[in-house]
Amino acid sequence: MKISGTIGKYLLPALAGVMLLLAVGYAIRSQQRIPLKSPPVVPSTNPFGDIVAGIGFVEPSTDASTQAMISVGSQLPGIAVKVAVHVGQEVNEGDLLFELDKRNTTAELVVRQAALAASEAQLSKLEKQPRPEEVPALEAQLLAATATLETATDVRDRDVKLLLTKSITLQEAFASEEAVKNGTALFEVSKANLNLLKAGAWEPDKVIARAAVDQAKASLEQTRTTLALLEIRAPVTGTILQVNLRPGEFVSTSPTQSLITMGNLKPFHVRVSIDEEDISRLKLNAPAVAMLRGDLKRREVPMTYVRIEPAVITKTSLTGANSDRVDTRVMQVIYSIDSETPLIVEKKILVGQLLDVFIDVK
Amino acid sequence: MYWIALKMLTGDPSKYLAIIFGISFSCVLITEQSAMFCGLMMRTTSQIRDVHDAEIWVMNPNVRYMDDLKAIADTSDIRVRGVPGVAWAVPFYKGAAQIQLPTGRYQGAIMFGIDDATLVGGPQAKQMLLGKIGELQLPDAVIIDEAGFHQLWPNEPLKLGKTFEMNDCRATVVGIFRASLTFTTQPIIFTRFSKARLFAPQYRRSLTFVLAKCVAGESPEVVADRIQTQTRMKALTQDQFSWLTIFYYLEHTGIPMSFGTTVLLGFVVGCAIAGQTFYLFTIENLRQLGTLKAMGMRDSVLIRMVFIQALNVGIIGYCLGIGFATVVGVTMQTLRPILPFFLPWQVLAVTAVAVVLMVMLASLICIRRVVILEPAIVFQS
Repeated sequence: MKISGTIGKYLLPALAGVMLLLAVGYAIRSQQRIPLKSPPVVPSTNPFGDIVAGIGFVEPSTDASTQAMISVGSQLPGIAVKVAVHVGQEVNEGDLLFELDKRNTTAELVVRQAALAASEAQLSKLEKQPRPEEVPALEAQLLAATATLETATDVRDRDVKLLLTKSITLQEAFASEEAVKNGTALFEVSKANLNLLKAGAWEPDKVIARAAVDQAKASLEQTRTTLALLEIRAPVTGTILQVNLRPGEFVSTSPTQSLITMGNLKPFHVRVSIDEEDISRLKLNAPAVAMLRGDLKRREVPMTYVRIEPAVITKTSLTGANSDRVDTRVMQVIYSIDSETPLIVEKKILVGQLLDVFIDVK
Repeated sequence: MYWIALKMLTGDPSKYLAIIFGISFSCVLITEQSAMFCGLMMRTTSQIRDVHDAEIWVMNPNVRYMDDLKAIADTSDIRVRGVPGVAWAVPFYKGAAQIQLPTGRYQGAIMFGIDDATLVGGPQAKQMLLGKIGELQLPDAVIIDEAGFHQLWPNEPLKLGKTFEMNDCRATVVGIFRASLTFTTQPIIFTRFSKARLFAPQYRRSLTFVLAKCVAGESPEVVADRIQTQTRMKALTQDQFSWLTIFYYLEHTGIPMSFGTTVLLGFVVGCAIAGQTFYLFTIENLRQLGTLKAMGMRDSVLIRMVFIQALNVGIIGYCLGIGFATVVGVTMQTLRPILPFFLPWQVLAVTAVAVVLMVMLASLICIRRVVILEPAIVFQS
């Protein structure tokens, strides 16, 4: 009775108190709010306040829509024998990039040169006529014909007088008359031959020969052009971004083959895609900064407005490859980053990279 | 005078304990069931609460609860970034994945794709059992939850480097973490956003959520409203999204009904046991009460005495009941983590109200007997 009284008076209330504390304590503990943690890497944060955000695609500053990297191709197929540039090299417009095998064309050039020489010789021969050595011979012939004619004329004159005195027969008189005619004809022949020789080559022949020379020259020039086309040169001043060619590889003329990609990286351009629904809030020429993704220091890269793309397109560059599952349309604004910016000097910003972009619209 | 009331109560320990047991039992039933119900409801939101580094969730306006996945446009994260008051916003993928094990077995899983650069929304360092969250940057890397690992490789110790296939892509386990238990109990996989797109079957749109944090000094509710106005997407704080999900399950499943029935049953049983025992106790003590009444004690004092007795058993029974329920709940959960148990103070308050009702009902019947009691009864028999 005594013990049960103690239970009722003290033990039970004490146990009840402990249990109450336990339950309430547990309830409070389980309901405690877990404080917000910061993520492993803090994402790029808005530096301006009122902004339009976009995703920027770093590209060379070559003026182009959608893709400003130049994929240098070859006009002629062939085997590459020399790659004159290395990745990252800065080249000037017209510098040699790579060279295809020239042996065939060089041989053809020699043939063409010979053909030109032949046709030029032909023309020169025609132009130098008459050959000086041939003239005296014909002149001598003319002199001989003249002498013969004179002789025949003398004989005939004498025969005319002799015929009056009947010293010769009529037959003989006719014969001397014929001799004069013959001599005259021979004289004319010799004179004509001399004149023909002195006149030189016939003009149409020379025209044909000149045309042949021109043709040979043109075909030589054609071969020289082919030879030049086998040396692929930089279309613009810029930096070599990729070299997908090694000596010995076959170069085809396929438009999809990008043998060497290059572009002008002074300055860099950033193609910023902005959701079409944000266009109304966008201000052109406003301050804009880009931030590297995953940059722990969260450095801001200032950018200068260059232009907009007049055509709004379906989003492609935001995620790289998965361009086939997209229904969003984006406006593209081009900004430039000065090539002396520290992050560019440190090679932290590279062509093809995606940047988080914030444009002030206050 | 009230001391006599307590003396009367504790005078017969077996009856006293019986009353307290009745009330405690009822309390245990009500508290236990309510806490399990709360635990189960909390499970529906565990994936929302497991994100510890962002406070605002942006989603398709038609989303009704956490597992109701409707994708938004791929540019949504940059649009959210443009809203004033938003410090940052990152994409967050949630979707179903089909795991194929080297043995050929298939297993459905919940897959999360977190932002490649920042890993926002990934498991916390203290949740990681093996590996580090940063190792998600490795190729084909995934982090899997502990329960999921045991589902995929039963009876094997936790080990990194296991591989499986999802959507014909190879995945390597680089980390194992302890996730809050989910409603559907499927394995949970974390990977990078870009990898998640490869691991998941191809859909036209693949962005399900945008996680955002507001700048210091702004309230998340205000910023969420602003996001909603400017982007016309649904933006909710973590709490709002949790409640949205809980209300969906309350409305669309039979869970509240079944648990409610048990709670009601506990209440009725408690009433029956406590009421009956208390009533019998009063009946047995009618002689003493009659004596007091005959001695000239007023009814109001007698009524107060009965109330004091009821209050005493009520408080002690309640305290013991909720304490015991907590001990049982915690023990059960430690032994079998799969059992849901979440005890908010509201459950304790609800139980308290139930106990008050219970003892009120019991004492009211007794008071009626005391009031109509004829003092002469003492001298009968």
